[in-house]
Amino acid sequence: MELTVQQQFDNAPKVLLKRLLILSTIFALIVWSISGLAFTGFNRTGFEVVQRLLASFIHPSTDILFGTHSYSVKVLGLETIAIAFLGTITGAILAIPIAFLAARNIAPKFVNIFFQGTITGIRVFPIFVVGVAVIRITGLGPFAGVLTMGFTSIGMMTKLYVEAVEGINKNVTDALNATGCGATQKIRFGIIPQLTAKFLSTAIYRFEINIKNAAVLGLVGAGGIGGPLLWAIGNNRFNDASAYLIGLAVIVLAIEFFSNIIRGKLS
Amino acid sequence: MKNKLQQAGTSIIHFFDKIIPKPKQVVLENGTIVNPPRSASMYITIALVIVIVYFSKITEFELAVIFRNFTNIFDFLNQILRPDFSYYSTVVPKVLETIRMAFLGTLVGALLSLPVAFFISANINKNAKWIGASVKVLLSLIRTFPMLVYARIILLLFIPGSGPLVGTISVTIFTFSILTKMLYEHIETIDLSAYEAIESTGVTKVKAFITAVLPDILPVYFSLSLYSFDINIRHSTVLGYVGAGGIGVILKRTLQNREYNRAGMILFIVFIAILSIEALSKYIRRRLA
Repeated sequence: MELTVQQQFDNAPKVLLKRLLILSTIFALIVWSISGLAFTGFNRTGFEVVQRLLASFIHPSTDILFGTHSYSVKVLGLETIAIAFLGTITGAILAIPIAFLAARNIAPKFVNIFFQGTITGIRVFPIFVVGVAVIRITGLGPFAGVLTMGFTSIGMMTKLYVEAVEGINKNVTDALNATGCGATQKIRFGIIPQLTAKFLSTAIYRFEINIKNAAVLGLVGAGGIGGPLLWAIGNNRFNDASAYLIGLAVIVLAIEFFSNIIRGKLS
Repeated sequence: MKNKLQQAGTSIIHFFDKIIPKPKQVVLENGTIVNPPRSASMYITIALVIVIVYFSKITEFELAVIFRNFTNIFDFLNQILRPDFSYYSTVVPKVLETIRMAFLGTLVGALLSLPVAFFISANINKNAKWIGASVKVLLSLIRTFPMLVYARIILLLFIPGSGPLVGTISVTIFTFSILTKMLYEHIETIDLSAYEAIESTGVTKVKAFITAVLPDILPVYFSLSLYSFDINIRHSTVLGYVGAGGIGVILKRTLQNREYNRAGMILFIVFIAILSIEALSKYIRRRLA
């Protein structure tokens, strides 16, 4: 049989029907989603309020922005950083054993399936449910925030750790074996150097996320800048709110900046 | 001034030299004496310990509290792990509402992000770099605030009852800000010779982009959108806490009324929803790759 361009063209798979099916599914989903939105109308004073909020960025409360009392950006910002930092370290340490147990090249199959399931389970708990549970142990305050951050960080960190552990190059440990190294030496010089960079950059990345999560923690009373910020917005204290927002932005941008530098050096 | 700082610096180093043992001198075969450089990890460890101790003081970190009060959590866990299954008729519509908010927000955010990412990519728009750069700065400013803060502010604009709409808008803003960043970072790494070739035939930039670049980035674009949909589902469970619709509204109520059996039911259904959506999105992303 002779192949011509025309024949090949006719033989091309027919994708029109498939595309139509996908598009109509998406369209149906859109219609379904929009049908769920209730629009009750704009709040007449709402725009005025938001305008006032935006205008307050020009003259934020200097007392809160530069003061050193217990509701100032300095104190609350430092508390937020402390919560995120210690929470990340707690999570990073807790995630190490779980990651080894959940890695396919280390643990037997039924063990790693169990721990993979545990990780997924941990990731489902929204941060403030964990917060409410932790507060029963520690009482209100930043300590609750640290433990909440620690617990909620485990999920993502373990997931990334597992990737690093599963990517371990066995040739290195084989080579150390050949030179007659013992188990501890193999771990110290063969495995740990392969993992530190990835583990550290995961921890730093999670630290960035945890700083942003601080605003959610404040809602359940677990410390940080988030609670005072949301209360200020709710009580129409916009000059205070804009001071907190500016503080939060500065903290997040600074940490993002340094985290990018460090992670760039690690990789 | 500078001399004094230097003096202070050297005296600190001398101080450390006294308390930390120096690395051993190595004598090579030809008699040269080598002083191995002191590894920085020593200083980093010391700094880390100081920071941890100081932060522990700020956050009132106390391990003893955990051991003393650990039993308090059992009552909570006991209830939350025995979900009240009769509550599903309230939970299911709210979970669907959360999914709707996340879906629509992701869709609109993703649609908005593509043209913006195209216009601010440094390798496509060479003439007006300052516009691209300032949009990028604006985007990173938007990204600094959590979704919840946007929900709280947008909520002020509407008459109570528009919760899901507020949630959708917040998800849109969030998706737009992260997706645009991921997209322009991707566009800036791709090879543009096909784009330049088509542009040189005299068509407009947009047309050249659609024929030469779009087919290249489309799989990545879909995959990133699905990825942010995954994130958004998780995040939008929190939105209801400030009143922006979805599952958070009833989760907050049940937690406040200490109806932990019902909260457990909510978490159970959210768990199933997240798992199935993740599995679906993983499947689609694998097909796209």
